[in-house]
Amino acid sequence: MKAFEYVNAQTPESAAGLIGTEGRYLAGGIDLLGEMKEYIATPARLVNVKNLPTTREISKTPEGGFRLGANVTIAELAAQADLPAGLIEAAAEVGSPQIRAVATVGGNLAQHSRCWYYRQRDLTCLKRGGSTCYARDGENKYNAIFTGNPCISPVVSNLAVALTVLSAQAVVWRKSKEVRLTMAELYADAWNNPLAQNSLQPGDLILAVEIPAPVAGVRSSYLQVSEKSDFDWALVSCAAAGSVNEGKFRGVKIALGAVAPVPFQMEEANALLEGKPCNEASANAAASLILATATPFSHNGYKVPIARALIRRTLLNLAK
Amino acid sequence: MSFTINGKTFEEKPRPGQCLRTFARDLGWFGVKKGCDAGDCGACTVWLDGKPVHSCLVPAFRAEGREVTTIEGLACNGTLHPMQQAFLDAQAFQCGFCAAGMIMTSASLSEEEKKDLPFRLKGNLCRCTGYHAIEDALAGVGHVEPDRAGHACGSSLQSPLAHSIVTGTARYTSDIKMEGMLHLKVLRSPHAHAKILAMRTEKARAVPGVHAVFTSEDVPKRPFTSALHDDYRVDPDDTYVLDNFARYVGQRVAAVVAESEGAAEEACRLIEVDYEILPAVFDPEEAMLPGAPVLHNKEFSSRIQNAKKNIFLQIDSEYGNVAQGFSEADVTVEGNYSSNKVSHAHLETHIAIASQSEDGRIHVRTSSQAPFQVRAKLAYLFAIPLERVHVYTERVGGGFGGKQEMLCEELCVLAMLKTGRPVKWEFTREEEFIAGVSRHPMTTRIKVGAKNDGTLTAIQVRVVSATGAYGNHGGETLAASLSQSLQVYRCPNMQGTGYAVYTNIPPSGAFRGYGSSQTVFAVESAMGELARKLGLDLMTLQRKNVVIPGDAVHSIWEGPSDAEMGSYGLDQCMDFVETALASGRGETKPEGEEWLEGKGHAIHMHDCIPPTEQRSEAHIKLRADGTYYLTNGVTEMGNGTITSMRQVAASILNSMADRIEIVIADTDKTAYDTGTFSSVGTSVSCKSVSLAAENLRDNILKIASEYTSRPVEECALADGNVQCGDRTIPLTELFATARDARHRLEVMRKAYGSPRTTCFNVHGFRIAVHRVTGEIRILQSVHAADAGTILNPMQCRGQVEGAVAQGIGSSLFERMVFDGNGKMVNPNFRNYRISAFADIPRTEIFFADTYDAYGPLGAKSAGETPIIPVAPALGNALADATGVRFASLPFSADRIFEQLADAP
Repeated sequence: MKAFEYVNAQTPESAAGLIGTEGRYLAGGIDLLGEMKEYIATPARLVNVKNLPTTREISKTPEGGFRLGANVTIAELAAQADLPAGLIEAAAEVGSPQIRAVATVGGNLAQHSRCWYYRQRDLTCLKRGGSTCYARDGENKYNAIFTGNPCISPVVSNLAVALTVLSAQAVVWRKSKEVRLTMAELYADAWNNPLAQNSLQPGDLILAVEIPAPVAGVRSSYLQVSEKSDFDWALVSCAAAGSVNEGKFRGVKIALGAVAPVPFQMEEANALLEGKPCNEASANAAASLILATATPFSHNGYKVPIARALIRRTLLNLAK
Repeated sequence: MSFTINGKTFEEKPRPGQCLRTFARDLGWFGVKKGCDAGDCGACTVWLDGKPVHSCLVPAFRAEGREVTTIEGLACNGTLHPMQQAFLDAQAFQCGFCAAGMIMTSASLSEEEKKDLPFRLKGNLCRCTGYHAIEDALAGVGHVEPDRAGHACGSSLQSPLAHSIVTGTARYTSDIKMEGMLHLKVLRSPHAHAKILAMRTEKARAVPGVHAVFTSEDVPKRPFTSALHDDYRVDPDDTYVLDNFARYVGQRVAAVVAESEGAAEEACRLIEVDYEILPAVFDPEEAMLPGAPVLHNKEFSSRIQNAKKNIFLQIDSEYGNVAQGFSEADVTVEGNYSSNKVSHAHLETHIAIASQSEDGRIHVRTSSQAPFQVRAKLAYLFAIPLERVHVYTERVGGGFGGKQEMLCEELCVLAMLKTGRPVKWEFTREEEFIAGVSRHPMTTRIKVGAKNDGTLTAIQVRVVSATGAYGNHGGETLAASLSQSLQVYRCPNMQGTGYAVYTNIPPSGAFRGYGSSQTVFAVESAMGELARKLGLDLMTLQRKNVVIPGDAVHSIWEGPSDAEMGSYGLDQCMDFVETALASGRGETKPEGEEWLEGKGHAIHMHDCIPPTEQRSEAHIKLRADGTYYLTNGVTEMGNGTITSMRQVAASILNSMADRIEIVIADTDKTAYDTGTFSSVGTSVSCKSVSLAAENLRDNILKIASEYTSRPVEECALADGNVQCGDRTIPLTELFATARDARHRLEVMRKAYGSPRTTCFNVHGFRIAVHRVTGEIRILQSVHAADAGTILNPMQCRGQVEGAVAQGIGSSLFERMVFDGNGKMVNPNFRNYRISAFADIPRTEIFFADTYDAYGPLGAKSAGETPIIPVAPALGNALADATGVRFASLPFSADRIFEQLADAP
């Protein structure tokens, strides 16, 4: 690891001032230290943002929603029983107990690609500014089946998928003020731009995530399938939120993770479910619509049936 | 700024960029281990304010003002923490390298959290135990039995190293600090095949702290092989300490020694190399074709059989007449099977420290399975007398064959001789993957012929083994793959052809199962296909054809053999597995018609000793205080040999095991031992102990008889004394008497690896397969082994559990993946996945009741071979469930999905 300078920031403004051109924000450091040890990231300065005010708290918003400070750890999040079930389930699947004790909400959302080729120290893939996506013709078992650009690295944040269906917004410190981005907006750039991990610009810092006030009767669920049972990223993950009234889906949102550079959602599928009976046939119809445009590569065709099964199971969980 | 670790306050400040793991170790807390340095394995787990974290992913600055607890801080006033005691009682470790981290995580769990261990232990990997004993420790189940004189053999005695392991005080090689120690790092080739035209090292030498840079110009001009065998001629001399040709991505091309690892790494990056890139070949079949790039254009003296065709060794042998055998067959089956390149993944990476004493002798502390072979190789390479080199190990953090190789000792010695300073080199996890060794990927074409009643008439195999860029172990694994894999069947006609082929991928090496695993996968899969074609149950087909007591051990070789069945328990093993699979025990299939269920098993017979030279020498003596002192050159890396040896000696001397001090694996303190590999720990090394102990016992009794004037038949050893009729003579008294009478109660005996007995393993699975997604769930796992007398039931179970876990991992998800340029793309535990707690089912384990004619106290090998039938047993269960034969390892979900989707 390249030696770095370690500085403490006390306010978002000072953090943004300290970061400079060669600095990186340090929260839990799980993803960043990994990149630094592999010489994928070589920042000259780490700006400790763990001490920023109110970023370690989970609080209620004036509207009755939740505000999750960006430095809340995944373990703290998973232990907060009054949060939506789907979010807690997504948090519980993150890493290992040791990782959850350190990793943060902000870091989970902002984590970088886990594509094998992106993580190769000596290889400059498309996402790192090179000219080739090696995964396309290489080992693409874990890669995306939807993408809007030549890079097929998928988003791997569990929380992003769960927060998408909860209509959450990220509170981002950008150019000396707070801006609010939906999850779709937070990742939109990665759909088209192979170099982008998300839509954050240099110096942007996630301060919190806000979840709208829960509506009576609305449930949420998150499920993932992994290759093995130690801490492992999802092969496919799925989150859904909405209600089931008199056996019918109402206001349902559904999103998939680990299949696209963004949390993958399709408004048409949400619309299709509206008022439909809560059963396998409706769920399968939604799955077919969502997966119709999937373009698997040589080794990841298996993700399609897994996604189909997960969509069905997650949707049916809303009635439980 | 101050830091508190285990209640002590330190004023030292971390270096910029330092993580908590190395900071704690710099302050002397060596219980914090390095397995991956990437937050994947959990060996470095410490508590930060009472919560377990991966200390390798915590910047040391983050610990300021917080309470850090390591394994050394867990015990309170000399009393072990209850979790340390539980790990001790269950012996929930083997090599012990993961134990500190595993205990730190386990000790943090509430009773409620302990109910969900698959979830709670996600962050800690163990490569040795298979996690059963760890589960037992967390459930408060103990296995260790009391050490009682007269009951040593057959008791579950604890390892003499146990206490040091659970307290974090066991010292592995990386835990040794020496005055003035330098650190070595290497520059590795980015090309799969290249000639080095020029190298510029000025910038590297200018890095502050750098002492020296070494290139191919600086090394002895002596080719050698990194494989460790007594008979070095079985491997080709195709390697140089540093070469001017690079033959795989990751081959070292230059080395730097510096005051710190960081400086050495930085200097490596500043070395400029001009390469002439040469065409490379990655597929062994292509490598044998005319016009393929040639890897080793070497002299015949290198022992490469056909260098121009990249064939290190070709084997052709036939026993009987297969052409005739096939002509007599009513039914034949044929198939092509392939196996994956698998990493040993011992949690302790390769490491060595070289130093020199004032008398000029060279001392090498290393993590090796064969210190005497390392000594011989170093003496050869540097042209120094054997006596001037001292090689020793203490704790070794796992081996599995990966450390039957000299991969770092020679560069440390070279650098130490040039700089005059102690030099240490520790592999990173990435280096372990790209420049350690791994299992030979093999493709096997097999044809089996049988009569309609199931009687085998012929077996023919053709094996192509990818030895990689160098030939270490390429020949012996090939021979084993062609012979050991067939010898459980008494087929009259067997023929094998094999090629060990050079390709531009990292070298393969010795791996638990040593060539047999790969071909047994093909043989037992083919037997499954044959049974299906004949409409027979596989057990029935096998019972009709397996060897029976009195049979000669044979496979494809003509001529005499020294392999013999010293005891026979195959029938019992097959019965155990058949009955268990029929019992309905285990989990039930998940609901839903998309889940398919199937059963399968596989069998294997293995030689307990290699055909190469193998010998071991035990010294044992009675000491003045009435205790015994035992030395043997064997190594202990979690295999338990040190425990077995004490039990064998204690049993023969009718003593408590604790009265026997044992010293091992040190070329100065112990006599020659070939090395601890190829299942020899019990069969050869323990055998020398039994021979020595028997002789010492007889000597003691003879002296006691003379001393008491009682017939020797009336004298018997007891714990601490000799009973001669009604007289009780303390051993202390007898020792004094013997010394006065100029008797020496000190014995040496050698054991030789011939004849070579055989052991048996049978594994069975019942599994569920999701027909759409390809997901596999193991519902029941059963293993039966014939290891002769079970010296230590707890330990033997642990060996089986660990081997089965390694087998499940390498069958289901482990795979080293290379890109089109020969570069490994998943060289870390995050992407090369080994089994965690949640991945491993509880295996039912049975031992046959036999007594081996050759082994010590009737015991034979237990640790290596249980891995071998695991993959084909899974393959047969998969075929039973789906009707589709999966012929390529591993059986990962994506591959199963693809093949099921294509199935009619």
